[in-house]
Amino acid sequence: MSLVIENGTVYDPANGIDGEKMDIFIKDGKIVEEAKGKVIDATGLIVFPGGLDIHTHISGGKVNLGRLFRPEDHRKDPVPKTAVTRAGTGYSIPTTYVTGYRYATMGYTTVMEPAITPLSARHTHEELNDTPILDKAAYTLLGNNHFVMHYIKEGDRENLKNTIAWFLGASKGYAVKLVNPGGVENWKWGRDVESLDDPVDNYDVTPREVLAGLARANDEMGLPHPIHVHANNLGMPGNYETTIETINAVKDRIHLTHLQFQAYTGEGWKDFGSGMAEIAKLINRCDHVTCDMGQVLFDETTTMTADGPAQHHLYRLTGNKWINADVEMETGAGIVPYRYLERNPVNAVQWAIGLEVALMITDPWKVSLTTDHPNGGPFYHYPKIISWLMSKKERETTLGTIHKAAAARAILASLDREYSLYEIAVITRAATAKTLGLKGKGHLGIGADADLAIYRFSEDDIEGSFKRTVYTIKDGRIVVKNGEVVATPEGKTYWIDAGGELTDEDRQVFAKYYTMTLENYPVQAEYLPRGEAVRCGGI
Amino acid sequence: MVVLRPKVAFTIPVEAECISPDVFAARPAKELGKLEVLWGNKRKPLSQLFEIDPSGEEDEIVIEGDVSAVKHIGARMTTGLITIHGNAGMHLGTEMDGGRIVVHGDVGDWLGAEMKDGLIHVKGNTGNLAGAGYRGSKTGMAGGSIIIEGNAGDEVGELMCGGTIAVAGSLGTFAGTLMTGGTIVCLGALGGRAGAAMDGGTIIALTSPQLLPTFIPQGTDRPSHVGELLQQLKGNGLPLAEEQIGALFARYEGDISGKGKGEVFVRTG
Repeated sequence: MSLVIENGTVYDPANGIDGEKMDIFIKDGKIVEEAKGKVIDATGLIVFPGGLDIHTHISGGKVNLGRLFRPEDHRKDPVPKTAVTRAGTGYSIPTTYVTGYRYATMGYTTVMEPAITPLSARHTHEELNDTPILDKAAYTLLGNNHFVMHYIKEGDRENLKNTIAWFLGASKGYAVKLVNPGGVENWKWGRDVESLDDPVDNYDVTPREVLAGLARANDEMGLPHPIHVHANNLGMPGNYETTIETINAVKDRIHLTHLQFQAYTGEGWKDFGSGMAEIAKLINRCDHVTCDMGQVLFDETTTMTADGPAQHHLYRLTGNKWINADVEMETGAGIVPYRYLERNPVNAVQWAIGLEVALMITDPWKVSLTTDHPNGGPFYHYPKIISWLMSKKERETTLGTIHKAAAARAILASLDREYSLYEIAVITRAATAKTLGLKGKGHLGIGADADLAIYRFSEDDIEGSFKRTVYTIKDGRIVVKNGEVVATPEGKTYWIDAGGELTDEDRQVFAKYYTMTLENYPVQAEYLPRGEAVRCGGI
Repeated sequence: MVVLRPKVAFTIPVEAECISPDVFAARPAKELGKLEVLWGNKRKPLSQLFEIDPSGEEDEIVIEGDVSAVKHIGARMTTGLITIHGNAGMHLGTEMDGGRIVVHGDVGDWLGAEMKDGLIHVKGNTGNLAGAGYRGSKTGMAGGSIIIEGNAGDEVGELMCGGTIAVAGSLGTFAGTLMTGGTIVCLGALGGRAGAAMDGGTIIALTSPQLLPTFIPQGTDRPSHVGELLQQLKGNGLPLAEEQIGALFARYEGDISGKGKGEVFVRTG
């Protein structure tokens, strides 16, 4: 099937195209030089590559626990079926189908589930298979993994890489994810780590060694994405120092996720403020660091992370219901409902810091737009965030309605920078694809996947412009037309095939301590009906 | 008054939030038939399922016939009167904020769930979870009154934080579980585990129940506010005898597995 998109105003930062009027040709799901076929008249419309989300909790054990845990959340957002879509529910933890539809309606075509435990990977992939339209991948939690910490302690770099490769293959994961390295292991004993040099109980390693060891192994293996790091002390006042130490602890590539939650000054909640000045200064100097925003919105949501101690802290703060989970040899998890309030000084400052991440880091290629869905707020609020980034006036309007702490204790009010459409295309498409190492995504050059989002843009209604596409095209097929889903093809799931094998010693440990036998553990390739193995040659 | 008569015997559930005085009053009588209801998973005009007979004011709705498969009648209503001559379905008067519903028959589950104000009077029996909070909600019924002349099912008044539920017959298990305010009155047998985990509010039992051990006796009295409430409920149609109204009550505090600020009055003589 072929398509010609005529006369649109194209934004394709990866190829240096900044608002040029041009035609785009699509054949067999790819962008080609020339093709004949159905013509879409894009006169007066803007054409972007399909959007990519680098960090969104949409699938897996903890997301589904969150769904079970919050019937009140679904009740306020029922979604009826249409001729082509299934029924489902929102709100902060939408059903898999509604997740697919809402992303596609917003012009997004590729999303990353950022935290799977290998032990529940099978379930994660079942849900990803049932998330329609989108291409997906998932990051494997390895920062508190028994075998990883064991080999880091032993200084056995070859077996560390071997382990990483095996776990990525067994969980069908795409990247190495660290969540509060060492801290989640300590949480199993009722403790946390407070600095990068605190010991991890029973393993005789430190978070610093885990970070550096995994970062080095990750790059030696040539994995497409850097280590994806949710650092220590998330959500704690004064944690910007931990973030700076984390950056300095590694020499290899590192992606700091939901940076907003990691950029706080202050001794406590009373003098809580923004630490983005120091962090931005450092990131602007470093070439090995990328990040995503973790913007918060003033809305009710469900926070969920593998960071058990951080969630316990939030539970103690709010008194809301709480789920705490232990995933035996691998990691943990916590879930707490949360409402960000405009009149709450801490929430107001958090809102400002999220925007500072994008506005104070000078190179937009180092930033991806996220809310850490659903932790900062549901993903379908991205258009609102785009409006804040593109318009100082919009930011001032919000600053006028929220707690004055946002103006006093954050830097945002003094920032004049406004994102252009080109830069928005960078942080929602091109930079994200580059950071992920997905070569066929996030651009419209010849040979790229034909994933496109076509919007009707109006300066006066930036949020409305990005809420619904006029067309979303996925693999050369029209999936959304005038904001309505018209087709729901299945998307691909990328995973890393780097080989790797467990040693005899590992097998013995596995047999002794896991509740599952090794034979039942790895997710078979057949489990991913549209799986795409990405080979990498490091080991 | 608008009279609705079912045209068919409903064999599959119908969702009819539009049967509400607020919705009816906002439309000319001729257009009532065009209101949408869900018949199973199909959208149908009200006129296809009901014979509609408007005469005079539209804030009074009378349903003549069995609507036990029709859900959400009177949901979120704020004014007017709905009278049902027959059985009614689940979620009757949920989240209502005023007005009155009278049912000459039985009602399904979730009657008046999360209601804020108004009066529901049921002449027959009701299902489970009357006046309760929906799954995941922090609070159930917050105000208004539910009067049930027959029996009611389990978990009645779960999570309620205000208002009154009065039952002439018996109550199932877990009445007033997790309640933080409001009052539940039961003339017949009060089921097991009543008031489990209650942090506030009042349960009044006129026959002696088996209370949880986490309710602590606080003495016996003839509390005037209990007598006044019962007198008022008698005026609202609850069949109460004079000796019940002026009775002696044992007072318990609980549930001490939580805050223990709730109270249970049990008639002792």
